[in-house]
Amino acid sequence: MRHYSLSITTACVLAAGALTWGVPAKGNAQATKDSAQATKDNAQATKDNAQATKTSNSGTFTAAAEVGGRGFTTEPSDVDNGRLELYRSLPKGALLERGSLRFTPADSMGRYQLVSRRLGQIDQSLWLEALMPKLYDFNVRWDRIPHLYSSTARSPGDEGGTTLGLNSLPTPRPDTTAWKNAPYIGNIRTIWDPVKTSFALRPTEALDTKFDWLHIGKKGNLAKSISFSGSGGPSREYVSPIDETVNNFRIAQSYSSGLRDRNSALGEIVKSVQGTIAYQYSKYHNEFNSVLVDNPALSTPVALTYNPTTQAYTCPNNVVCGTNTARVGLPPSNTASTISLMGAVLLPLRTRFVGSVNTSTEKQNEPFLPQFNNSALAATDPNLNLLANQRPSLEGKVDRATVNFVATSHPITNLTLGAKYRNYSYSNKTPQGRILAMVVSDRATTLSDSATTEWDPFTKVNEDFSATYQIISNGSVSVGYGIENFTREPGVFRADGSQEKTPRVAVDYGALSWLSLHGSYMLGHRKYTGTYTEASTEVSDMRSYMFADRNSARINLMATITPFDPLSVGLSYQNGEDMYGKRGQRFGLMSDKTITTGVDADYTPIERLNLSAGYTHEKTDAVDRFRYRTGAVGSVTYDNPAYYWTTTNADRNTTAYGNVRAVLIPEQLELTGGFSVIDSKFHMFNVNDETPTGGTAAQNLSATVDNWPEVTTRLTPINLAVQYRLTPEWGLTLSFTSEKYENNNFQFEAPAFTSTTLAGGPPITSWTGDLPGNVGATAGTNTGQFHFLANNYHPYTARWFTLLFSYNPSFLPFRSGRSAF
Amino acid sequence: MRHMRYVRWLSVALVLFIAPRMAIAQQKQPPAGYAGSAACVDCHKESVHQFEATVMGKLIKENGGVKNGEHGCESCHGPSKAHVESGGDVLPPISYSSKAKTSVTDRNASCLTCHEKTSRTMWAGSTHESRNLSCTDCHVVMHDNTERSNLKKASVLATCGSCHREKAAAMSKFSHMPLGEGKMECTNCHSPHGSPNEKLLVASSVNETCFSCHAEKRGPFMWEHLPVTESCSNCHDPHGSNKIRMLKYVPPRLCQQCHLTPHGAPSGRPEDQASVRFNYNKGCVNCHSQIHGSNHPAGVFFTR
Repeated sequence: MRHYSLSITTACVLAAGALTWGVPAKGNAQATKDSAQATKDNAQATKDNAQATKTSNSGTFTAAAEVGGRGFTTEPSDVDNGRLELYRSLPKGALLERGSLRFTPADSMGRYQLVSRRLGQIDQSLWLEALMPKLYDFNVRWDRIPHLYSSTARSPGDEGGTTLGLNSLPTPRPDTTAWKNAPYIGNIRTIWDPVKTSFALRPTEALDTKFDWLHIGKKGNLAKSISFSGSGGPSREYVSPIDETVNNFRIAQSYSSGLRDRNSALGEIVKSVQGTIAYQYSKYHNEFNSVLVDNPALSTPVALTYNPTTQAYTCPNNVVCGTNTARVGLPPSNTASTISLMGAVLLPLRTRFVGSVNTSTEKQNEPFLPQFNNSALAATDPNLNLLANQRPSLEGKVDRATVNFVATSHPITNLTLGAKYRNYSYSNKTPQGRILAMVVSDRATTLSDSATTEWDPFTKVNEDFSATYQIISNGSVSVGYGIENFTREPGVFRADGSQEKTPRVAVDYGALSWLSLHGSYMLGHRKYTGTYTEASTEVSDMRSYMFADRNSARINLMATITPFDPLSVGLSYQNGEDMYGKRGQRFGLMSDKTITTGVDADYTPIERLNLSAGYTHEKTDAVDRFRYRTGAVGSVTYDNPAYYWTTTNADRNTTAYGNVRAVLIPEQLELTGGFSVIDSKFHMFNVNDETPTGGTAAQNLSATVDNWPEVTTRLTPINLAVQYRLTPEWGLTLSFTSEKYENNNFQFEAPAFTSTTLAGGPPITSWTGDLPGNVGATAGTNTGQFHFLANNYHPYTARWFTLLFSYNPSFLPFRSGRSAF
Repeated sequence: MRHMRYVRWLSVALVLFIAPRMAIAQQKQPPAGYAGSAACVDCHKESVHQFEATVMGKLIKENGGVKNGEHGCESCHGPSKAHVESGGDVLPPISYSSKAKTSVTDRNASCLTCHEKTSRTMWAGSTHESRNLSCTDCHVVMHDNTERSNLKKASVLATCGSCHREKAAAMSKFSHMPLGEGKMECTNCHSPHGSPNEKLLVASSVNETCFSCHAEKRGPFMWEHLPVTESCSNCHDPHGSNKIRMLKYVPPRLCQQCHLTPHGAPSGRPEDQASVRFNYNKGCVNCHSQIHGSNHPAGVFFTR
């Protein structure tokens, strides 16, 4: 709160300073006829609101407010409202929806105001502005954003409620029944508090100085997960604390010469000059460096025991082995500094050169956490002496550098030529470290997983050339060619880099008053450079989509048709496809195709009536090739063509909307309404190339795939509002909103397994309730491997009325403000 | 009290900057070819009245309060004596309606006369300039329409969405950033007036753009995850997705695009209890929860 208080206080004081100093100075100097006219206009504007304004010699204060209340006719329960209040707050009862206090100087054009939206609600916002055009612009914006991740979480333990950062479970550990009947623990939510303070000064016509300070406070929690014994479990989802701040400071100085005098130095050649220098410092701070999480299967630590003869580790009870409480690292605090330089010149033939250099350094040096948190480990493990960290902290340092160069010119009247060059490099300067022995999953030391830290430096260079020729008035053809060279450190990862070439063409046509068209077509050819290094046998014949050869095509068509004045129709079509599967690629992402079509219409038959509607459909199909592999290298099951399979990820998204606005009585009664249908379907189709054979029955079963259930969501909001101006000073808005949300995602629901074995069983046909707290367990025991918080967004239907009285509605802020970022 | 000292200094600075503005040029007689703004009011009374209430209108009305604005309406529309004398039959040299014959380049040049500083420095050669967009495709001038920037539509999202329909529609998908809720704007990440960066980003790269809010992902970490280091957009679609966390593909398929057969376990069948950890909830991240990078000495597999 201290930061926000300081921001707001500073803002208020500065605004007061501006008022005190700026307004009279301006006013004394400018008692002109035009200013008097401005005053007259202001007076006219506030004439109807005389009761709301206080006029003094220096200006006019105007207050406006919108207050009322909200009541639900159908209200979701606290557990079901997670999705409804994802980023917003919908409290019932009294509301202070909008408010403003504005000062308008009598003899200047400055604007000074304090604006609020949803004051007192979780998603409230405030905006303070002090603006003197051409001179200064001071803003403080605070716009609170809730992130409601879940309202359905359940846990039999203490998820940090008593001690933040300590997620404890009772001893003995809860059994299956306790997990399944665990109580709700309330919302899992993080509140973001972004406060942006910006101050722009224009000391002269040519100079602009700008200072920005973005402070983001994040408090709350987030669901995370941990495995206590590697991939086999037990694993547990838990509530991780969030208490973080981000502070971004930026100061920039810009210069613009305007059109230079021909008689000045090089005035005939250099028409204008612009430049900007900027510095940004960003600091991220995390109050927590780690979180402690109790093992759901162990209340006392058990370490793997080491057999010196076989040099192997075994778990004493052969079922569960590990720590009773694990420590998980949280993001470390860090900083970043960035310096930017940019310059631009305008030369004859409207030739313009723009160059910029940007360099940043990111640092992180938080103390390392201990390697393990298993007190049993110390007694048995022979490699403990190798566990000491080589240095106390990472001394992490990353440099990024960007060089840009853009040139455009018009050598002849209708021709525009362009060239761009961009070089972006990422370089990790952190001293390398060597982990001599590692404790994976807190169970035992291992030398095989010890490693030397590796960095992934890369450079990306883009070049682009384009030409646009205006064939007719409002009609042009453009061609362009882009090249991207991606270079990675040799041997760091799979491919040394890639080169992509992208020719393109575009046509714009707007010569007819009733029609405008845009069409573009782009091809892309990417090839990896050097040899593709397969990281391990696991990925032979697979190419990661990041490095793989790729052919791309993009088509974009847009049309705006105005057959007659009140009607405007927009049509759009986009087709994009990426094709992989070249040069030895048999597995991985093979293709990704998206087609989007849209139509919208806007109709205003009379000035008092506006109708609009739109429809967008997006169809995406992405195809991946996989295989199931088991057994020793060279065995039949290790690379068995009968174990190959294909996944098609099919996404279908449809959005439709309709809106109406009708002025029933001019300046008195207005009706607005709208509906939307936002429908999404995702279906994963899995199919084997052939019936899996060649292995044991269990192996063949593991290699068998089948379709995933369809995942669907649909949101249907409808709203209707009547605004009535009772008197010039008073207004009334009555609105009704209905929202229906339907959600069906099996990944977050409880599967009805029909087999007690972990692998196999016939396809599941039903899922009931939220993903339970314990999956794969024998009832009444705590042997389950996967413990979830039952996070899910439930379907809901909500209907509510909002009644708002507005005082001085002409001076209320727009319903939609600007974000704080 | 220390803060008050800064305030005092800033206030003094404000006065110093205000002082040069005190002298305002006097109204001049219209030069040749110009009709003078008074002539415009005769036919465009409503428009002029609305315009005079805007910040820009006030500046221009101040008659010299803005550079190049000394000709009032004709500062933007060009010398329009012929327009007035023809009773409107001859259009002004620069007109901004969709039916006007004025080329987009000429329209924009008029705006850029005053507005070429800061972000507009990169307008020439930018994607939107090369697509022949005019300033008035996104902004209105003649009346106040939005809180800042005087956009043509009620919000930045609606304005950008009038062309980028699929991006605007994506903001309604299952997982999305709060643009539809009015808590973010397209311009938080993109610079529509031009940028030297890919996709008109405000920062030098995708990651640096994301880090401005998600700085916890910045590191540097002891254990890097290459696709994270290179671009957040390798796994996430920032415009919205039907998958959790704005992922481009559903876990575990997303991970399997690089890690073909994790742990040798089956993942093609949701009915296998053994694959619950892969196919349910967060997929692979059920265990590899530090997937953006880990600074834990035992975090080489992003599990701690």
